Amino acid sequence: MIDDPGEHGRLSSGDAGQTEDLHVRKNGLGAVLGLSLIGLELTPGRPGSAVEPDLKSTRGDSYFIPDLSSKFIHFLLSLPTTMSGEGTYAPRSPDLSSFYSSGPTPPAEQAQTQHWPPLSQSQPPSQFSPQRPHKLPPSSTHFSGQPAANQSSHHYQLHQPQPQPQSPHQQPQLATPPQALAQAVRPSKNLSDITNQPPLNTSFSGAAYPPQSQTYSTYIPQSAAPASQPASASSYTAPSPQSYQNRSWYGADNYQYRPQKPIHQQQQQQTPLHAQHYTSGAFTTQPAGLPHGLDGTVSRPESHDANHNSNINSGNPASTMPPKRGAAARPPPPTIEPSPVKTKFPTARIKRIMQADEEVGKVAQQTPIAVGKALELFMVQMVTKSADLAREKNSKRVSAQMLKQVVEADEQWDFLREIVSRVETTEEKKGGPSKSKSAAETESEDEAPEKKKRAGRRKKVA
Amino acid sequence: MPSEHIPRQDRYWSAFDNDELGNDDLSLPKATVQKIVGEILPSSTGIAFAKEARDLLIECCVEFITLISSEANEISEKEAKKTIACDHITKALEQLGFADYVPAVLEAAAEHKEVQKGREKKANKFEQSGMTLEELERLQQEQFADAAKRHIG
Repeated sequence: MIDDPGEHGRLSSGDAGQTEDLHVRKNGLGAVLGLSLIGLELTPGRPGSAVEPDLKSTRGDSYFIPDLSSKFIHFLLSLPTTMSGEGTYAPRSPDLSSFYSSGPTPPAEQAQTQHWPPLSQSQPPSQFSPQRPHKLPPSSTHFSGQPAANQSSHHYQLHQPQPQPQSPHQQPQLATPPQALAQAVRPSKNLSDITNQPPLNTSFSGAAYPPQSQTYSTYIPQSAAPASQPASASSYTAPSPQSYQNRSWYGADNYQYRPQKPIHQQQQQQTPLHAQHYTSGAFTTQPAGLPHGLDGTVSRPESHDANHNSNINSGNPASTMPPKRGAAARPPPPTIEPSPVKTKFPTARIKRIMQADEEVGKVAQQTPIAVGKALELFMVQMVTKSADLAREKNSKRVSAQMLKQVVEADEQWDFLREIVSRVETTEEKKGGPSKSKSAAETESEDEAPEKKKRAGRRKKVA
Repeated sequence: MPSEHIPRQDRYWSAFDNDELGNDDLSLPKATVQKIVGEILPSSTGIAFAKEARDLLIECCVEFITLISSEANEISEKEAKKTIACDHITKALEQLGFADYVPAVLEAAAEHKEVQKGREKKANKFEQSGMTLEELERLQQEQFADAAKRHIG
């Protein structure tokens, strides 16, 4: 909407207006321009020029006009779609929020109903589908500008019947929600709003509550898990990086926690309300402000823990917070590569080594990579085995001899025996007189041409 | 040659003189091998890899590559294929007693394929933009117009 530079660019570049007027202006301006331009286009038009990147044309030459007109026609055509797309960003725009605050008015509902289908995708449909209609009122309060306050107050009243477990949560709710809600409008107001506007909240909760409770009574089994979460959500959940994960876990959490419902049933009934609250908020805001949606979803896993914690030690919410987050972070199974090796062999080199064998002809692009991977595994095996051997020998250094030992110990490595034995002899050479002269001779013969090569290269390099 | 390169060169040629390096084209880069060894045996383990052991390891690696490729070559020839493909490598690994490498190798190859695909996609910006040629042209015109306005002030 407002933030979209593209829209503005088309309308009138650099014009930063408010969204309320935007639609009107778009329509009005677009229509006017479009009409006028169409009219103009008829007179001078050089249609072919529209495509050409001509600086002249932009300066208001007659050529420029056709371009503009076509642009605006397109723009007008595209308007309906863009506007509907903007609907998703409703929470951010001030005008829409005003709609919501007035109550469940038809326009607001429409806007929200548009969003439902996507919502159901992200959330388990069974739980929320019936509740959706009820979500609207709370959400409307949500957007009126004191969203956090309303929610928290909600909790307060709703939870009063069961003050024990939740009382610890209430305090954190009051204190933390503003930060948790990432949207710019809310944070500062929340605290003051909470204290000042209890009546408003009560009215809202009362209105929203009765219908919901009915629906919920049927839902209790399903909604058991999310039950207490909304409350805690408002209090604790900061829009953390976990947000994405939380969404995915959402359904899973419900399953896990169902057994615990009976204890919290009352809370559950109330909580669904909050859940709706959040989800609806999340919903409308989803495209624009993820944090919100996060709050709603995040709250579930955490809130559960919160309940337990509160029951166990109904004291300091702060202490309970970290474990919750940890719990939330637990679920995703870490997919770590088993291989410790991050460095890859140069595939070109591997290919060259492969093709050093004259029989080897063409090699597919993937092949050196496959060989490189195999080589990596081979190295891991060799190095770890030889390191184990070094440890056995209380040595901190893996020597060539140890490597040799490893090779000779396993039949799998028999193709390396020749190499290993050769190295051994060279080492013997260094240490003292070589046992097998023939081997030494052959080696020296092999080396002779190489050394010549080296000398030549060295000169070049130097 | 710049002076900073000389030490490295010296190291390289001294290694060459101490032999075992062989033809450098047909060996593996020592630094890379050393790095990988370090990754397998982090310094926290307290075990180091002797230089000779590393050189021996490199030779073994080259031998390993040669073995696999010649085996794969045989397999591909049996299949009347001119090119050694990935599954020739995996078959060779299986035949040579390295069947346990196969899954990881397949995974790595698949990963590489994915990366390759991704590159191709990235290369085709036009298709990625999701706009028609007309729309793109319009966008270009708008941008030209904006630039001109800015330029004129």
